[in-house]
This record gives sequence, C-alpha cells and structure tokens, in this order.
Amino acid sequence: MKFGIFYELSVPRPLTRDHERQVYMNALEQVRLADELGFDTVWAVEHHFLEEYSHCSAPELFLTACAMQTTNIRVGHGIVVCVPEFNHPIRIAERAAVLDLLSGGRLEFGTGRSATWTELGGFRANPDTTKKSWDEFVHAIPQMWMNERFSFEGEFFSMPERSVLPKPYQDPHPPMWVAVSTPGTEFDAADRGMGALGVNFTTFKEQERRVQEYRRRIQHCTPAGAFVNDQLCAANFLFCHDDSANGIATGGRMIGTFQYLAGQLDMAKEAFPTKGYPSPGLLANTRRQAQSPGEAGQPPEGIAIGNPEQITRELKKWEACGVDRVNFILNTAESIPQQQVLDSLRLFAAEVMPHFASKAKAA
Amino acid sequence: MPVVGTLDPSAALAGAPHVDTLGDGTWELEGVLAVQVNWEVRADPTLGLTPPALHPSIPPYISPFALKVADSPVGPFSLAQMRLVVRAGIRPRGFCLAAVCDSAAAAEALRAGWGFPVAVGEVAITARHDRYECRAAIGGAEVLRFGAGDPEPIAGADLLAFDNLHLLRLGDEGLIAQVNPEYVIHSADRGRPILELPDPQALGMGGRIRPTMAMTSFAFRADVTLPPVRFVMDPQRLAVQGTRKLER
Repeated sequence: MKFGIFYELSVPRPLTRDHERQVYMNALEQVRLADELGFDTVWAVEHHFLEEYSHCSAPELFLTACAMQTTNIRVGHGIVVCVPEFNHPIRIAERAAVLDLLSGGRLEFGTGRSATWTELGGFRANPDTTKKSWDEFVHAIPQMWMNERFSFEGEFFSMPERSVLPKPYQDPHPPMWVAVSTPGTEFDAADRGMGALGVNFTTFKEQERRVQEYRRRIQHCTPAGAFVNDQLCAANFLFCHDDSANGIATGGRMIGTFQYLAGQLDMAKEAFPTKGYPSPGLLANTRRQAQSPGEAGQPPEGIAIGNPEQITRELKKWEACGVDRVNFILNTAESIPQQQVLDSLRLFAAEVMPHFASKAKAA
Repeated sequence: MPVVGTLDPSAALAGAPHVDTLGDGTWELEGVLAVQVNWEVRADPTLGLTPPALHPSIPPYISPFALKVADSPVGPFSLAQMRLVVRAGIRPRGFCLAAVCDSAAAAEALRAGWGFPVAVGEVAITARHDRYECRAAIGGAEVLRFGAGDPEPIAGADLLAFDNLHLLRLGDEGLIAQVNPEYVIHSADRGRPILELPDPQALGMGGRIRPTMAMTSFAFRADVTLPPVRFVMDPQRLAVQGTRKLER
C-alpha cells in the first residue's frame, strides 16, 4: 500500500493574507518532509470560492512549488475540474504537461467536475452537463498529449488542427484518475481504465463491494488514455502520536473542524435538483463518517488517528479490502500546530509505514 | 469558524409568534402542490436577518416556498413563505422570515402548532401548462411572486425541500423551532426560475434581500406529513451548542 498526503488548504478566519500565506508555507514544509520520509504522492484539490474550507484554487502552481522543492514524491492534481467554464481543455493539457516536465515525470493527473453550487454557480456552469463535459475532456486530453497535431469537434469544445505543446515528460502520458465523490463514479473510472481517487469515506463492507465491482469492470474497459490505471485510492485523516488519547483527541479535533467547514458548503444537490448529482456529493459521506462516534475512546472506523498500533490496525483493514493507496489530510484550518503535524508525519513514517513497505515496493 | 448572523433576536422576537405551548398533533396532508425557487442574494445585508445561532449559506440565497393544500384538519389553504437558506451547524435550513396564508383558521393553526410567522392574506398557487406560479398579497398589495417557467419532469428523488426554522416566543423564552415536514413525492418538474419582490420591505425582508442570480425552481406533488416540533434552539448560541429536544 502506498501513502500520500492530500491538501485542501483550508484557512481559518479571520481570512488575512498572512494566514493564507502561512497555510501555504506550512503545507510546503510538510511536503518537503513527506518527500524525505518516503510518502508517495502529494495531491492538491482545485476548489474555488469555498471560504475557509479550501483556498486551493490554483493547484498547478502549488504543485509546481512542491515539485521544485522535492526529489521523489509524485505530484497529483486531485483534481482538475473538467468543466469548460472552469478550465479550457487545451489549457489543462498544457499546464499538466509543463508540471510533468518540471517535476521530471512525477505528475498524477486527476480529473473531476466539482460538486458544489458555490463553485458551479460561481462559474455559471450547468450542473446538468458536468459529467458529459468531464467525459469529453478525459478522452480528448490524452490525445492532445500523444498526437503531434490534434483537432476536435465536440459538444463542449472544438478546435482546428494544432500542435498542443509541450508534451508531458511521461510517455505516453501521466496516469489518469477520477475523483469519486458520487456513488457510481468509481465505475465510470473503471469503464474508462482510470484510477479511482476516493475523496469520500465509506464503510469497509461498502468499500469492499465497490472494489470488487471496480476490479471486475476495469477488466473490460475501453481506456480513455493509452493505458489502464487500475488503482484505487482512499481518503483519510492522519494524526499519529505515541499517546493514544492525545492522538485521538488531536486528530478528532481536526476531523471535527473539517466536518464543520465541509458542512457549510452548498452542495449542488442541495441547491439545484439534477440527476447529474444524485447524492449530496463531495465530502457528505466524509461528514457522515466523521460523525460516527465509534467505540468509546476510539476513533471512528478506518480513520488513521491515534497511536502507531491503532493506525496500523485501521490501515490494514483498508489494505485487506483491496485499496491500493491511502491519502491523508494532515490538518484543517491549522487546528493542529505545525510542529505536531510534522512530528505526526515522522512517527507515522517510522512506526507505521514499515508494516506496509514490502507491498509498496513490489507495486 | 464560519460567519454567523448578526440579527438582534430580542428585537426580532418582539414581532415573532408567541405561544404558551407548541401543538403535539401531526397533520397528514395528501395531494399537496409545492413550488420552490432558489435565488442568490447579496451577502452582507442578509447577515442582519440571520440569528447568531445560524451561519449564512455560501453563497447566501433565498428559497421562497409555497404549499397548496387541498384538505387539512382546518380545511383547504395555500401558504407562501419567504425563507432565507442558512446553516444550522452543518445542515441546510430554510429560516422563514415571514409567510402568508389565505385561511385564517390555517394561519392560526400553523402559528400555534409550529410557530409559522404567518399573516392572513391572499395566496394563489397555479399549475399551468407553461408554468407553476405563486402570488401572495397582503391587504390587496402584492408582496411576492415566484414560480417555475417551462417546466420539465425530473425525478422526485433529485429534490431537496429544506426543513424550516421559525423564530418564536414560547412562554417567556425566545427560541428557534425546527419544523421537519416529510414528503412522499409523486411527481416533480424543474423550470426556469421566476421571482418578483414588489415590496422589498415586506415579508420580514426589511430591504435586506437583494436578488442577484437565479439558481433553480421546481414544483412537486406530494403527500406531506407535518409532525410536531421536536427540536428547538437558542437563537443566541450556535446551533451545535444550543439545540435541545423540546420537552412537552
């Protein structure tokens, strides 16, 4: 199993410019340490207008900074919004290719379509059609990367023949992923030969069922790109401390803060009835799971907070149900002091990662 | 911590419904026609309409909502509500600024049983081929018109009709009551949002509701259950801290 770190870049009120800069600087320090410690990937979301919850509107810039300050850790767009009002697909292909070049071929290319009215309405995008535009983009972008010249006539964009430059460093192109926040999207990923980037939490029983179905369907996929990325990635929180009670209390505080900020988002489903968003979408499941009380004094099921033994035990459950990677949120709105976040990363790397090292190496 | 409202509850409570006890009856309402529009509004002015217990939505929007009830324990009625969408903790709610009902008996029952801030007036809810529409007036002066134009069928499961919050005086105590209707939806349509606010001072808006961008509108036919109020909250404290089960 591989481990990554995952950034929303949440900023606590008051929303001063110093606070915003500090959040970015702290994240970069965490990324540098994660690189040294052997974490596999740093992912960054693309969100807009989500006060406090996420100030990560230009992830390609943050990820470029990450790439320039690290050596081995891969950089993951988690995700690029594939909706024309947000991003033109040519610009997505160009930016991603440059990031792949600058990082020396370390890009993981995640795709998605946004799940909040705050963002969709802000760009005046139509929630009815985001899945269709995403589908069009994820088939066109790899062709831009692989073909010397490319032209396209589609529903959401068209272009005459041009050479989209530069090409990515990875040949034929970076691994492609889909953010899974709506039930069933993991099967859209499977059908297109793309990795499923879970941004929600679910029960192990449900996760196991989804993994099995994903594995079954990807056997018969028609890849959107040149190759199949058959990996499943789960989202989680991380706070590791020698003292179990401290780990759970501090990690619980982070989860509670995350839950509260996520709960302020106007989900597309809530504000705009459409079959395009059949569930409350992004992070609603996260909220539910984070509310699960678990056993007294214990973290909710599957959450990586507590001491190294507890975290190892929970992550083994994820491994057993077939998940290939887990991405961790390390902090929310700076609710945990930076030094404690860094100490948590170090302890996790020293005491938990070795229990998963052999399989990661084999992969 | 997300932004909270700046409404002075003590001043607002002066004009809020005043009851000694809330009713404990349940209304089962069959074949109700409901119409709702969601419309973004300017952010800053709405804070003054929002109690400190609640967070504004991001972005703020209003959600006028109308019910045409063919029969109830007090007979047929139509009800039009002006609601501001807020967050009680992490949950979206329609904070009802004011309502108009075309039946004096229904208005009294809704006020006494659930704390609806409702006045008696004229409410016309119509379903036509090209639109659903609600018009509300008080004393002959129109105060609200909204609807869904050029409706197209959608699945009822795709709809979310918010629960209501009502500021009221219960005995000596100022509270916000949470009203949780349950809907069994038989059919639904989504349409082009229509909204007119002929009197910006009316319906508890106090000139603070300034529409900016249409979001959506829909209408549905449903059986509605209106259970007794189960939860109330202190308007001065965050909902996550100040919500309690109502003792009867």
